[in-house]
Amino acid sequence: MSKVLTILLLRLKQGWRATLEVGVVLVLFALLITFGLAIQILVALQEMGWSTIGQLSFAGILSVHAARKDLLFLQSICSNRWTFKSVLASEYLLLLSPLILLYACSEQWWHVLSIFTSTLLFVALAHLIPVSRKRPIKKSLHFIPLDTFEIKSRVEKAPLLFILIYALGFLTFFHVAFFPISIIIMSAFLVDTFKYLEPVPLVHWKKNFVGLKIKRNLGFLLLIFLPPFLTCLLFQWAFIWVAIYAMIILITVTILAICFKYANYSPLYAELASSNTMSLLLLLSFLPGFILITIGYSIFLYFKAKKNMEYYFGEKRPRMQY
Amino acid sequence: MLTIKDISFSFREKIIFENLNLSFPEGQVHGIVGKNGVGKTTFFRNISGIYNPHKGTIFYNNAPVKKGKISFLPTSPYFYPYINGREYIKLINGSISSRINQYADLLDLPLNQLIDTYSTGMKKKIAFLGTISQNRPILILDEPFNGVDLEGNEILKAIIKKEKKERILLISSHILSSLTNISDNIYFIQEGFAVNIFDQKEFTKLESSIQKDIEEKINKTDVV
Repeated sequence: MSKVLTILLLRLKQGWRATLEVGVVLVLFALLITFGLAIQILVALQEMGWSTIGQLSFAGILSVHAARKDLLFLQSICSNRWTFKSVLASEYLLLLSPLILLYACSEQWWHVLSIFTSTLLFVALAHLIPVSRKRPIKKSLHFIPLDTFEIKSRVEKAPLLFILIYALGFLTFFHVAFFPISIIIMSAFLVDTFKYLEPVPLVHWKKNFVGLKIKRNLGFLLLIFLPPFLTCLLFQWAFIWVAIYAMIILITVTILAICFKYANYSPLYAELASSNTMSLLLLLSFLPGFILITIGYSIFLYFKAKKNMEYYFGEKRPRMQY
Repeated sequence: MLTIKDISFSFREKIIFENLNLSFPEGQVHGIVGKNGVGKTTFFRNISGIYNPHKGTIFYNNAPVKKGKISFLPTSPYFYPYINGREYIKLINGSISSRINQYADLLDLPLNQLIDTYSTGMKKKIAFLGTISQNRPILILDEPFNGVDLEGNEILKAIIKKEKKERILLISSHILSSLTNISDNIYFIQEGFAVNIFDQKEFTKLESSIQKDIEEKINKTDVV
């Protein structure tokens, strides 16, 4: 019991420290936007039957469980299987607590019971999922071109996460909000993907390097997100502007992430420091109209990136002083 | 006594070890040495229950070993983000004993600082302290000296020597000299998991045999 409490308290502390690092205002802002987008889904969820909610909770926990990297560590600190399962159950119930609260407030007790049952059922069966085999896939995904190596390596590292984000977009036939949500999560995924800096030998310098980089990555992403986009158009024609706006977000964030990376590129570092400006711009893109600010900043960054890369690799680069 | 009885393990067609029999007495440090990819980590994962041997059983004091008896320090330990050193130890053990506090002071570990800000060596040290704080009878340390500075290495060795009482300690390292200083026995693992056991008196024999093999390999080629 004490182990469960320690972990739950630690989770709250982690959340608070992460909030402080990102900035309380920024997090509140993000929550407001998320809430704004999620409210329609919540209304739809309230109309669903208790068995569907049970199944969705089970599927949700399964995807979270499959993406977890800490299970071996968690297993090693729990003295027996029961402690491990208690920790898992409490963590997943904490995760689903907003949904439980939603149904409790509207006195849909069967729904609450079905969430509890599916969580406990999952935890009872969790040991059947081998934790040690959850490693990055060892085979290269040939359908992703090598030119877009950042996306390729990121997807190969977490294929399940990518599939989930992508598949979420197809749920748009059920509700229009799923497509923009899929794009929003993908945008955050892209910002994280482009924060890693390749070493100098991997920068195959060409004239208009940044422009070509944007062209290749955008081409690939637009091709990949075309099927969910078409699904959205097909089933939610009335919301065509929502779908188009989501695609504009995807394009803008891709350009922003690439330009930000190369504007701050340095051969000395392997990773960019996290930037509150980037997070703020990412959040602003999701608000109607505010994307113009992100577009403006992306153009500014594009020229900065061009200049920065020419400084390191261009023909007129200054000589290194030792 | 930890007894490995007839265990076999393979990754699909690749057999890592077959019908392996070994025993590790209590109160001793057992060093495991071998080339990269020979199967040391797989062996440790079999003992600690991360992998299940395809055949055979592992016994601790004549009963099948339970996970709760083993503490395992992996090569790349996992850390939750946004937690400090003190919380990490408490998460593992429930509390921090004065013994662990003293070790942390000795290792210059800032326990109140977030682990995310630690260097590679400091992360290794805190993971080491977390592992030994569990007070379990079997301690498996996979490459505990990797990334740790010279002073830290010597302190870790001193702690290992102190902690070996009434415990079974299994340690692997790439650097043979770091094991000869603290081990009671060295298990030299070669291709096909052929194990040669050397006691303290034979360590110099082992060192010269390894040195001879390396020299022969280098002399065979004109690349270097």
